[in-house]
Amino acid sequence: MSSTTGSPILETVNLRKSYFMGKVEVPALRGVDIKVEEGEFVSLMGPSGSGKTTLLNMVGMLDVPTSGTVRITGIDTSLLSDVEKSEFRLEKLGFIFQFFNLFMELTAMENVILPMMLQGKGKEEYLRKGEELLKVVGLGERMSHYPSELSGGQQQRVTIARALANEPALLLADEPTANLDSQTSIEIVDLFGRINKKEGKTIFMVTHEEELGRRADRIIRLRDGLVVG
Amino acid sequence: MNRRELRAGLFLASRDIMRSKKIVGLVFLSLAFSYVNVVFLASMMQGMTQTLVGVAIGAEGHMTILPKEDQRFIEGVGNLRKKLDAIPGIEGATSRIVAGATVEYKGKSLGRAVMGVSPRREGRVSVLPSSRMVDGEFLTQNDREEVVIPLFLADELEGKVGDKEYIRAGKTIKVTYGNGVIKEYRVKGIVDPRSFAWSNYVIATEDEVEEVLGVSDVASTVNIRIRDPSDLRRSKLELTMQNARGDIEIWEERFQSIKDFTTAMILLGNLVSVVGLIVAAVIIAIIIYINSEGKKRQIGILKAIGAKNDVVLVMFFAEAIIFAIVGIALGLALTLIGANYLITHPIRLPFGDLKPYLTPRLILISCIAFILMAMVAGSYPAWRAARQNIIKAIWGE
Repeated sequence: MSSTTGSPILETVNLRKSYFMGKVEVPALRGVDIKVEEGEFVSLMGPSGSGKTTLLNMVGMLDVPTSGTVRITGIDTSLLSDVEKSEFRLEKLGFIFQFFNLFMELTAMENVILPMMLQGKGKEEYLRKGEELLKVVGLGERMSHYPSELSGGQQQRVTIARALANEPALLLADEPTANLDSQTSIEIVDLFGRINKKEGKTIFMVTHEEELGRRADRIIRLRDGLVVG
Repeated sequence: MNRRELRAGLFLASRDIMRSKKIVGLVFLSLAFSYVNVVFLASMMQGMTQTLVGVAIGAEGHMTILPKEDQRFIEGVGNLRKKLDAIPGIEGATSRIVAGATVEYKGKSLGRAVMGVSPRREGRVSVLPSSRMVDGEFLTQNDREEVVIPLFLADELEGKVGDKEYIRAGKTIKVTYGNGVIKEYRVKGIVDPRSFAWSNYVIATEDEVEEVLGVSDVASTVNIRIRDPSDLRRSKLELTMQNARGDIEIWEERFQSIKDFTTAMILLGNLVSVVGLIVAAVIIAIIIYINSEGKKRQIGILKAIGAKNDVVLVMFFAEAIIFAIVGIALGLALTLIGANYLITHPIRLPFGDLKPYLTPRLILISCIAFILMAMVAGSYPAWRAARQNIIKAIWGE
């Protein structure tokens, strides 16, 4: 168990999201209240269609809730403009998606330094930091490789390094092992665990695999758009 | 948009272009040929225009003084020439006297005219005395009983094909003037002025024709070459105010058909250039559109990690501009190679050499037009890519 500070870095209050298929309302989240403390490693689990990814999209400000509130570091994200949301994501959040989603025309190093470039950091700083992060994820020898020259696990490690590059307050991972074999999946989740412990990063990970979910400090379970445990 | 967004957008654009070498190479090549299409044909049209204008001015000078409407000749031409010579802006002035005549050689008869020129003065205005002599020599100031025949007329007078009665220096032609005077002239030379403007005239000296017509100190035309022909209408006005004793026409008025033809060619060249620009614009728009569609997921991720729309906009917009700049560079290189070859090996036409007329102005305008075109063509697909919904983009929808 990692140490937490006791203040919620992430909090949702009565969060609701509905989609419309024609005129038919399909609720995906039906009033979700969760809290994640700073420094926690939390798994969000639930069966397919339970609203895990929808919740993650709301938390990551990639989508807008129908009602309710998302607070990250105490800030109500619904009050932010689109530009402020971009700035917020750049400064406070790190994303890891299930498809590795690297830029195929960039090397591992270039993929990792991209968020720092967007933050306006200097070349010397982002190159040093990029190298450091790739070493943390075990890819110190693959820095100038293109994604097509890396295995699935290695690509996901690059994504993790990229997600850490902007020194986020909250790391959001959406099924980060969905396209990996079981051994590599365990390695990736263990890497999350190490990052959580050593770097003190708060991690909010969506997964449907029980074994992987249990490696987190805490599990939040969703079913039919509601927190059930 | 701030500097860091610009830097990130340019970084992504440059990497995208460098990574897809084969496809990008083909795009560069297509755009290079589009640029050649835009600039090269325009330069050839300009070259054709220059040649035709050169023919017109080379034949008649920049301006021609004609007799007043009710008069056959310009009177007091000696004084007029002196007066013209004293005007600083005039490089040269010469008088010509034309008499209608029938020209006969070896039984072949053509209704033409004899043009009396001053060999000494003519060279300061027209290309006639300096033109290539196919045979013999050009006239000198005091020549009598001798004529020079332009090549086109010589061809017409040579009779039937295969009769071997070629007209050449030393042969004699018979000229029957309109006033009934019949003269036999020794052909002093065959000149090739490469212009149809002379094809109706046997060339004699001014004194010879005046003697035949029984006139003196008169001219059918006085032809003038101006030092600075940039504003001929102003020069014409100045000359009119000097009381030039005749009606003054500048070359564009005298050769209206050439002026109309060159205007039409420049318009045609511009039209082809515009079509070339449109083709290039369509190429760029399609490439940027396809590229942005293929990168939907990456655009979604880029925006998810905090890139603003401007980064995506800069990325694709910069690609369009890079395509245009490299297209221009390659196209310009091809154009210069082609133009250089055609300048040293011009296409020879009966009235002159056809070669491209590639000016810095034409190059500058074509470059600016090409880049503006790329900006317009790239802006919509770039804007469209930048405005994609993050979730839909991440899922490639």
